[in-house]
Amino acid sequence: MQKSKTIAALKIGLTIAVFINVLFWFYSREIRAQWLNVPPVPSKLSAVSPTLGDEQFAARIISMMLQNLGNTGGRTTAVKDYDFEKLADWMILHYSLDPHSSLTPYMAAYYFGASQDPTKIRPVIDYLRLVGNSPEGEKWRWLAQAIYLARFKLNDLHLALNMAKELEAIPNNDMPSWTKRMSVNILNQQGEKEAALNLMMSILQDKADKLHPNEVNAMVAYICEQILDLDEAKSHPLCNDSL
Amino acid sequence: MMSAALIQYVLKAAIRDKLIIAMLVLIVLTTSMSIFMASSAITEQDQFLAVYASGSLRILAVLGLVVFTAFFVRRSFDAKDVEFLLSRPISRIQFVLSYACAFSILAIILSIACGLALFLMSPDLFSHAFVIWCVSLMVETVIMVNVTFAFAMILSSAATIVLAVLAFYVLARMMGQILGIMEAELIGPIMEGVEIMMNMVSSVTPRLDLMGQTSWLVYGLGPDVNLPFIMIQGAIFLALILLVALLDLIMRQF
Repeated sequence: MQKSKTIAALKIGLTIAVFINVLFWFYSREIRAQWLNVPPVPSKLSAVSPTLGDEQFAARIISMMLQNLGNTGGRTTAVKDYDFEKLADWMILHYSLDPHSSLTPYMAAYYFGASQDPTKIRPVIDYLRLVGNSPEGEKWRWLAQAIYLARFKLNDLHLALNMAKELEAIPNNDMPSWTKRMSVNILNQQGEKEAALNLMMSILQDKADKLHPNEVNAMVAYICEQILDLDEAKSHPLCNDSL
Repeated sequence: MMSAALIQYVLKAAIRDKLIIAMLVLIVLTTSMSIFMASSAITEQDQFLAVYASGSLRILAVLGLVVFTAFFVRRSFDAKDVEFLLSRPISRIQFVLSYACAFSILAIILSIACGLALFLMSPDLFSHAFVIWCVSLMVETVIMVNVTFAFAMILSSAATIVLAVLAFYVLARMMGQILGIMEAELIGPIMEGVEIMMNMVSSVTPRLDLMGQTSWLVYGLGPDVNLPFIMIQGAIFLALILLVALLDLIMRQF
């Protein structure tokens, strides 16, 4: 008798607990964890701790984190709203862990560099300048991208010229000839859009066969959606497939 | 020096405890998860796949072996299996070496399974660096499984053994970073005592950070490590840790 009373009381208690949980769910289901912008950058030691000292593993996790930053759990964040100083610090941390990867420079050049607010992209340009100043393989193209961003997005001719001289001085015989005339190209008097288009087309035409297909697609999208307007893109042969 | 029957006994226990089948399932799940994660990268998916899969499999293999060894050895002591075995014509040295050999065989089997999973997932990975990575993983898991065995002889709780061994593993994997900080003199004079202590600890800690690096699978072998280094480190540390286990068992009063 006593046992059945206890069981009945427990069942009532369970029903009430379920009911309270459902009520609480109505309150909590709309609440989302707030994104407090780009998180502070850890030290190199802290960054490799979660991967037990494996720098390459840590670098890949950081680049995946940067790829999805601000855009998880159904949330989307405009690129202009990112803290670019911290963003560049994360990229530099990634570079210290893996100086060979092209993923983070790729994001810096085509994603973060295409910010709706070009005045904020200076740290990203500084990062691309750091990565691009390397004689290794095709790294020089990130410096060319930095020059493009400085000249045509940030409108800082002085910075673009300094970087153009650095590009000309990179000891890499595999670089196309136009990179050796970069400072002249930057200074010439042709229209800005035409110059920007020429620079991007030069990188694409000379090195497309050596780049990852996704990177080529990103460059085409950048040319067709960022440099050209809709009407110009429609008539440009490069953009016919991508539009 | 070793007893084939004892080795067989441990290997059968691993099969009976479903260690092999559980680890194979986890290897498949880890590899699948790595494929899923890598496919979401906007570029360099192959490199992501190699790094995620190899990094995760390495940690999985060590975790699985540590947990099995810790619980198996403690259960053997608690159920008086060890006392029973030692009452038979088996010397204590024979007991320790046979157990160590059996655990090492398990570690090698699981390392081969991890290497095979990586190869099946991405046959393009096969290279000199890949082979060295697999050998290095074998040596690393053999070291860790014997460390667990030695800790299990000394500590009495399985949970404590697992935690202590994992702390040791983290230390061994982070040792390069810690030594780098001390080398660069980034710590102040007040920490000199800590520096001396860390140097002493590092002298009896294997440099696991130099072994089985995921970067080998992406960029090839670095100049910092080679096969003789891996084998010599494995041999000298194994000798150290087995002597600790032997000494403990020989001095133990049942």
